[in-house]
Amino acid sequence: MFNTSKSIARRTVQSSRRLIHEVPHLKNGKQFAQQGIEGLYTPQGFQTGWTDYQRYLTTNLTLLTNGTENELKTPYQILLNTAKQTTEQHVYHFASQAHNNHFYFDQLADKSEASKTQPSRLFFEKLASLDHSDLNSFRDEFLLAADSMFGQGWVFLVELPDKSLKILRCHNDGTPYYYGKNQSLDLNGGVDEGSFEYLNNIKKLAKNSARDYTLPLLGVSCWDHSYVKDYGLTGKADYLTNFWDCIDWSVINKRIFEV
Amino acid sequence: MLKNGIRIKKSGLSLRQVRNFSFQLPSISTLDQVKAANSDYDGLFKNSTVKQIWYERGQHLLDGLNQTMEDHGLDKTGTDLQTIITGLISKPQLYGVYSYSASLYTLQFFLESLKPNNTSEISTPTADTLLKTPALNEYTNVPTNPVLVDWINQLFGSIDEFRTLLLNSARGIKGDGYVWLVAKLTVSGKTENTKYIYKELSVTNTYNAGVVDDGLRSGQVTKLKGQKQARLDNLRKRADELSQLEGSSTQNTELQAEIAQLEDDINLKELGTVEEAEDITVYANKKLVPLLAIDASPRNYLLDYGVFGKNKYLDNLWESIDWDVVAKRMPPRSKQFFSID
Amino acid sequence: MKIQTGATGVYERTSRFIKAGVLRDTPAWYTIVGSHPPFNDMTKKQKLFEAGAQKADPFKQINIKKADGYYKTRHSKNDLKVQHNSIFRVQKLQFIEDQIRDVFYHQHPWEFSRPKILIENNDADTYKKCDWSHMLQLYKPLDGESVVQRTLWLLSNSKPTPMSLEEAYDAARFEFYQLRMSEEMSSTVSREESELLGAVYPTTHMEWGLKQEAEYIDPWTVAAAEMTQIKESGKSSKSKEGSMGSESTVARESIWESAIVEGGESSQ
Repeated sequence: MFNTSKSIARRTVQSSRRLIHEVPHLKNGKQFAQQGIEGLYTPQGFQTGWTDYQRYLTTNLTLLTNGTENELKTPYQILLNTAKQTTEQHVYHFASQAHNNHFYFDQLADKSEASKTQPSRLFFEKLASLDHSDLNSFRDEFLLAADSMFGQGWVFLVELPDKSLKILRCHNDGTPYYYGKNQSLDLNGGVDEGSFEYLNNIKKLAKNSARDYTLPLLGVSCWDHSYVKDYGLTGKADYLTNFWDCIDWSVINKRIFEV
Repeated sequence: MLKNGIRIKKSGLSLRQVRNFSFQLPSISTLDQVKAANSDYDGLFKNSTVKQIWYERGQHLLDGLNQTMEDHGLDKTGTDLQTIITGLISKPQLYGVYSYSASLYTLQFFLESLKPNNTSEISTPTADTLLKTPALNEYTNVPTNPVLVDWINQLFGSIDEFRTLLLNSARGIKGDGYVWLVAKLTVSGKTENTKYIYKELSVTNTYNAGVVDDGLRSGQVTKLKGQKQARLDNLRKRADELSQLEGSSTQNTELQAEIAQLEDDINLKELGTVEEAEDITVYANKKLVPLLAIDASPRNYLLDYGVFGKNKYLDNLWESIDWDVVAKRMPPRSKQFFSID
Repeated sequence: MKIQTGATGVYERTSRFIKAGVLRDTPAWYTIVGSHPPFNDMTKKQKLFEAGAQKADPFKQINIKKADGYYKTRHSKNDLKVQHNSIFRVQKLQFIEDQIRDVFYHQHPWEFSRPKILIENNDADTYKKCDWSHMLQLYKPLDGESVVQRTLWLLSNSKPTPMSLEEAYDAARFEFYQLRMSEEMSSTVSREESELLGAVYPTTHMEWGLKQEAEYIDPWTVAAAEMTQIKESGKSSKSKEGSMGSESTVARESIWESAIVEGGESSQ
């Protein structure tokens, strides 16, 4: 798992010589760019969601980390390094988005290819901890969490340190790797007691500088960049349904931490 | 939403089936003209985008609002969006209703502040534009109302500076959000001779379904804290009573643990940030009256301007601001008087 | 640089020694050096390569037939004299960049307080990759140097009306302000936005700053106390023992080195 997250956060730097952040290569990147992702994206939709948006993120990240302590780090390292700093949140945004977007696109495949892959038995075993006996009921819960979210964001299936699974909603540029920046609440409306308690709890954790060992297995983008081009402003539900059919489960299976 | 969406897909029912009274999509004349003429919204949106932003998404929000209100059994007759918003902002259990109504309200407010213009062009910038410095003073659209101009000049220095502040705030928004120009209302004096004073203009941001006047909202954390304190006092009292009954030697360990936990929580909050303190006091006797809203959410520029088009979109947006509407929304300004006694 | 005359004056010195009777035998080289004295100017000569900027080398004029049919066989006194003293001095290099830089940093002294990476991670030719038709660069951070380079670019590329230096500098400066403002706003807005979505920061901006500062101030306090002690003891012993004092015992190395090494050890 650690290897996976490192490779995802890969940057075009091998030596200590500084290079600029570039759009990473996807496994089928060239094919996707020409034909789109069958069953999910047209070539234009892929261009907006990946090629252009990732370029936008990496270029901004380069501009903001030039000549700073973060200039030799990968987006993954930058997001962890800046997550706690109140004045570095714009840098954090681009790092976290670049990482999440790569994480999301890394797991996609053509519908015909994706249908050949299956979640592993280990995955199903873990799913039982979420009280889901089959994949379909889990699918409904996962996609509902994504669809009912107001605004931009990400929904992750994460593995907690005790090896159980959880569906985690991250608004905007939230990250699954650090509890302080999960951004699971929306305080723009009313604040209920649950949210208040949740915040209090996180504050306590942060005060004691508790560590977070949560790792994501599956993620879906709820950012407009990922669906507006192909599905329109109101097409989120259609996009999510199609997304489910294009998950390359072999990638997800590899992300599960095996002892 | 998706639950509904899935159900709808399976049964082929229309979501728009609503019983009794339901909210209708408000009519915005500039947009209706664009729709009728099947033309572009000059200088800002293409025709198809206008349809998506207002007629489709607006309807989508409306459907959501009607649906959720019905689900919660709320009475829609005789209410309007603003009443719903102010009524529900402190009711987190109705988060859905609140979010739909607030999103719709701000979207309408934003679109009503605009008019088509023929100075700017819709274009799709490339990745290179990320390196370009936003132009400082390449704009033609300026407010004409002398009171407004004077007010802006006094509070922000100049129209240039005001524009920079407004657009920079919009550039800073990463997800969904609006930038607002608001007039601050200060209430002073006691009930018999209350004075309403508008002295300041300011620029403020809201995110997702946030609304400008969140005076009601900001009290919530304090209220919750108060509840917690009350619970702690109650527990302490009970512990005292118990120990008096059973003799001072015995202590109810369960109760003590709970008290310690609560004390811990409250003490943690006592070390609050400066921001929290400001939050509690800043809106105590203030009200914000919105004059202008600018939508910086990605959906507005992704369709016409592409991923790299945010700056271009915002520049065009400035050109499209209808200053007459802004001036009409402006409350009477109370000038500051300096008297030497 | 002080010119070393010890070696070139060896003939004169030996002559004086012989005359005074310090040396009894004349050294073997004495007559030879006497007839071929070394040049007494040992400095490296800088040449002005521009045509006509330097007089012809008088040493190359020997044994060449002159216009009047005679040969020049010896150097005149004038030839051996050091001429054009100014050419031996290192020239004052003047660049307009330095002047702009100077003005900029005098006007914006706080730019110096921004943290800067001192290790060079860049290619040698990174700066060549920069294109100054825009202010932001992929290969270098936005700083005073950007203003300088952008000013120069504007000076030579402004069309249709050429800009004056002041105009170009002001244009570059305002672009710089614009970008700085925009970044600052972006940072503030990001933070506000994420806080409203439930982000929690373990420290406030102030606390973070204090913590960072303390990391350096704490070892410094220890080191400074030690240094003061050494200084004090030096003073008291000076007054007792006279002018020599114990100055040599004072550590000459930077207080930072020892302090930070100590700090590092104790934390391990």
